[in-house]
Amino acid sequence: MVSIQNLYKSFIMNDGSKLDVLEDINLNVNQNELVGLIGYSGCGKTTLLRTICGFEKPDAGHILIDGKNHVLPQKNVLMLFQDFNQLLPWKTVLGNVIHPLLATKTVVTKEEAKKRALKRLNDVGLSEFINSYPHQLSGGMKQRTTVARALALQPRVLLMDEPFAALDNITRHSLQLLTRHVCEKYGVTAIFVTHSVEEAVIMADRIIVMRENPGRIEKTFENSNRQSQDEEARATLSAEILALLDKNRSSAANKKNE
Amino acid sequence: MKKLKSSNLAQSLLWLLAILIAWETVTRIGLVSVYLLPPFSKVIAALFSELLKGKLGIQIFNSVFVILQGFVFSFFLAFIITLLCTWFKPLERLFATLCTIFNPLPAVAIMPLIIMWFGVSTGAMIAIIVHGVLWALVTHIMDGVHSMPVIYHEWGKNLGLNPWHMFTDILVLAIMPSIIAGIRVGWGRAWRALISAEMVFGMIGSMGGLGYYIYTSRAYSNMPRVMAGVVVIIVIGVVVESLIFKQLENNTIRKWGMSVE
Repeated sequence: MVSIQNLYKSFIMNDGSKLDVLEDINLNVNQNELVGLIGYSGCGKTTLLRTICGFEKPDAGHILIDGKNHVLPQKNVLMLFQDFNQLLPWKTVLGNVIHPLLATKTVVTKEEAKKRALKRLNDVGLSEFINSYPHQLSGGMKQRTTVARALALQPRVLLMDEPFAALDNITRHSLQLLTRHVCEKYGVTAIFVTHSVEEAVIMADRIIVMRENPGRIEKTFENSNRQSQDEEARATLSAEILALLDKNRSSAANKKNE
Repeated sequence: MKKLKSSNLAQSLLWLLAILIAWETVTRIGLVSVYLLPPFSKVIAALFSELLKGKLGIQIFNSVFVILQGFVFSFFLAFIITLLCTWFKPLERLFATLCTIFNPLPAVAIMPLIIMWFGVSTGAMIAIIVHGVLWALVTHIMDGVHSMPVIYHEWGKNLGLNPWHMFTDILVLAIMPSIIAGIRVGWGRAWRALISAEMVFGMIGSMGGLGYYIYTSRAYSNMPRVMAGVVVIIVIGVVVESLIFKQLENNTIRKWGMSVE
């Protein structure tokens, strides 16, 4: 469904030099699949996400969504950020969900928009806070609203850039499960960036480890035990991913010392 | 919080009362010449008798009306300028340069020029007010645009909003704190510009405005009236600040948690 083919991306630095950020990225994501990107800072995870979204223009390669070239940002490929302040502060929780529905003409009437917004806010457990303004909410509630706002638009793909990284452990865990659940419920395909192996193992069907300088895909792990209660299998997978990340770190450190 | 605020207000009022009593006392016991500083009671008496005669009321209205016209026009221009700048980036540099040049230039300084260009007319006064308000407003708005969180912009882009909706649905609201700050500065400058213009221009129309009232009262050495005019300006300033600007702030950026306290 999402097909990334031979994607290259570089940035021109202030001193005029070229920095290769992504090199020959190839990735296929199936319908309803959740894919987690993991790797050290600077491995291009965020740039990859931003390029898929259309915020950055690739140097070469293609991004196909449902077989069609995706170039400019569109509402069918939505980005969720880590920043708690991505909601519009001048709109209530309900207003934040309704506004994009009407602004993008996803639904035509106000009643319809309100009905759908209420339903999605109920899905994320925020029915009692629909009239609050974002600044009155906790970080977790803000991110829930963000998820509801995105889901209401019925995107084909959801891109999440460490959406829960700034939350406390307990809140983060409940949001991971919730996001997983609502993505399944509404048939949303998602690619998310994370720093946490634990998060990847909880949420992703497939976990992709990226290497830095330049950013590329190193290894893909199938997380077939995600649904099962097999704690041991999950722990094994986590250990495997952590070992690979550790190895990458030490080899990167060696390279620097040379 | 609310309690604290009301006690602040009470304290301010108490100090105000103390100042007025001191004023009344020093003038009554003859420490200061009543020709230079009439007692507060006389100022208030003059104010009411002038208001009852009706002329002062019309002059107040004239001044406020001219300011409002200047303000509306400035807003309209600032709106157009911002719109042009967001759609066509190179213009931003042009208007930033103009702001750097004109923002520090006091409106009074260009009065002779304005008189040459527009003659002594209401239009000239509005031009002076626009000069006082516009550059401050545009400077503030541009600061706001530059400090606007990128995340709002990217959200709008992600939705595929067209430039017009980007402007009305996102930008204008995201920079509300800067707009309100610009209005405050602009308002202060507009008053200053207007009162000086009225004193320099003399009577415009059949009555003139507040500045003209103060000026003529001084010409007749009627100090209570001069002071009454000053009191009116102060009262209008306080009323506009506490009723209009405070309300505007409470119903927007304070309610939205966007104000810095």
